[in-house]
Amino acid sequence: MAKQDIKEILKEKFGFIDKDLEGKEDTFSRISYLDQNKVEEKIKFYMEEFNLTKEEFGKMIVNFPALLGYNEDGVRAKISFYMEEFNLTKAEFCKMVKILPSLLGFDKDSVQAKEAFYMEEFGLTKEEFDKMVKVLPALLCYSEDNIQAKEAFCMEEFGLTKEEFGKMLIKMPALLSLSKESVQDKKSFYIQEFKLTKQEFDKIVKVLPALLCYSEDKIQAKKSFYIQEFKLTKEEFSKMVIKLPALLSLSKESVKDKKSFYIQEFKLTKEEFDKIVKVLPALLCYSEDNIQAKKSFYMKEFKLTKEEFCKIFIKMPALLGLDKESVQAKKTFYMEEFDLTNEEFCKMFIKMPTLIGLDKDSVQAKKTFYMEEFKLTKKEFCKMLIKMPTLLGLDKDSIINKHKSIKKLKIDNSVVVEHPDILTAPEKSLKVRYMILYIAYGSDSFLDRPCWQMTSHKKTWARLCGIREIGKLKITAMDLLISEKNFFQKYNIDSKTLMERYPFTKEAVKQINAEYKKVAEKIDGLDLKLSEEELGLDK
Amino acid sequence: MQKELKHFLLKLDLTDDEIKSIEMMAPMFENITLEEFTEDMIALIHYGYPQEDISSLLLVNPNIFVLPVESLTKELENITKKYGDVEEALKKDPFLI
Repeated sequence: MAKQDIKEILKEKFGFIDKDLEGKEDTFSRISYLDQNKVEEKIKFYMEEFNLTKEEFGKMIVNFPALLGYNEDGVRAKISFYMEEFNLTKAEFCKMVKILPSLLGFDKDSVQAKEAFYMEEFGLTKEEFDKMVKVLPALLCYSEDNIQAKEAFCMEEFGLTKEEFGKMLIKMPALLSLSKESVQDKKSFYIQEFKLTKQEFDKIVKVLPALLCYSEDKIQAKKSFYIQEFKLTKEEFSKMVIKLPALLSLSKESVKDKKSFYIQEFKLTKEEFDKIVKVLPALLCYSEDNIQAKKSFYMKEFKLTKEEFCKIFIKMPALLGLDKESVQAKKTFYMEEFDLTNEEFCKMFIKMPTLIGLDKDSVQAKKTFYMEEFKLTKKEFCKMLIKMPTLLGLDKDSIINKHKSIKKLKIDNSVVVEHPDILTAPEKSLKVRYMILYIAYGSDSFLDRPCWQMTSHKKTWARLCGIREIGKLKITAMDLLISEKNFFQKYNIDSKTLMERYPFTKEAVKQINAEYKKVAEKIDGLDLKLSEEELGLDK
Repeated sequence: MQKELKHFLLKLDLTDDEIKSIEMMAPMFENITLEEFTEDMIALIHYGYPQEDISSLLLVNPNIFVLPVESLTKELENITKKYGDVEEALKKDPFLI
């Protein structure tokens, strides 16, 4: 049968036109010995063996007509070889052949040599390479020189080590199929579109090399979608992409579904979820089953109601990303380190969920620091911590400065143990708050009142002056600290008006100093004096 | 923490060390914008927490301010229903939220 005849058979069988079969003359010439019956037998064989439709096999023939020249036994032997070599099912190999029919043309030795080359060059395990070949069978076609040139280019372009490039390749074998120009163009596009620095893009592409394969139109469409769906600015979306490049690989439908799921599961409004996702975009990647399992875990582990967990989740969405074992280990650590009961730690967790995220060494260092700084026993510090777990989050320098002020005011350590919230008093105004209340109370008995430091000195001063003006000769000192609502009910004047009438000026400072001196002298109190500088009134 | 927010907190008379503490107690502060922070402040003021005492509340429980304003409003609504006086309730127990 002449070569023209094979072409005619194929044209008749698959509806090809001359253009489809152009440039393959050499191959047709090599198989010109096949007669019509044989060609038809081959077609039947391939369609049955690889479970192909006529259309699928037609495409394969156009790409690689040499298939018609292989004998059936040889093809079956190749199938067995590939399945065994790369741990493939027959269906997986059929899929690979559909994409790359020339696989059937490679000899076993060259395939094994290529496999050994990849494994050595990129430090891959056999399993890793098997997976890569399944995704991109074309890997077996690239020349070693070409692969090494691509590797060198990517390492330079993205500032990668050989090991990092190997990891990227495992994630996306198609890296080796991209042209240098397309990689550089894509990089410029991302840098411009997301206002990234080169370093930021290099970091992102390391995490998600697939970025280099997405089309620019699709990326822009995805960006518009996120901006609209979550009411973001372009800058906010860029920040989210830097945190989680995988955002660009999620489908719009899956993002919308996940959003609806969170809103329903955590009883959130759309606006709440939009804000939370800005902080932790990874939420969009967690599976629904996993989220529900984590929620049940936290509720059980910390004895939380559904409502309590939802509140905690809003404060610390990152909880969903922690694994159960590490949370349990951290809880055990706290309980042992601070002699806490399960109930005590659960209460502390509700107050400060970020406790779970602190590392053990820093917690132990903070404990030692507090015990040394305030000369506390372990029992005393534990007592303080139960009342105020946020102590573990306070900056050491801030505590040291506050302790200096506390010492100057000769506030006893027992007060600090009983009311650790004093350590959160505003550093700049602790002394003045103390002096005003001292004047009003005639002693430091207000120290026993919880959270006395939470009321502004400007207000306590204005209230003190106001109460005096109203004619209450015997001042009810407690009233300086009562809530605005109660104050108004009692005196029929609000603190804002009083603060306008008695502003905290240099004159006020002089008056406080004078009045404090009088009271302190009477009861042998501390010798304290305010300066305009320390209150920022000198500016 | 965003520069604008830090600048604003310094204006509230907080020190650099105190701002560091806030960031350590509530790591979510890294992501809060000045606008979001002021929205929360306004909500607190609206429900009766005095403006002049907000910086002290922030130092005790900064996690209040990482809540989206919609969540904080729900919380304040609940406190109002349960305790009546938001200021009194939060000064007695700043971890109610």
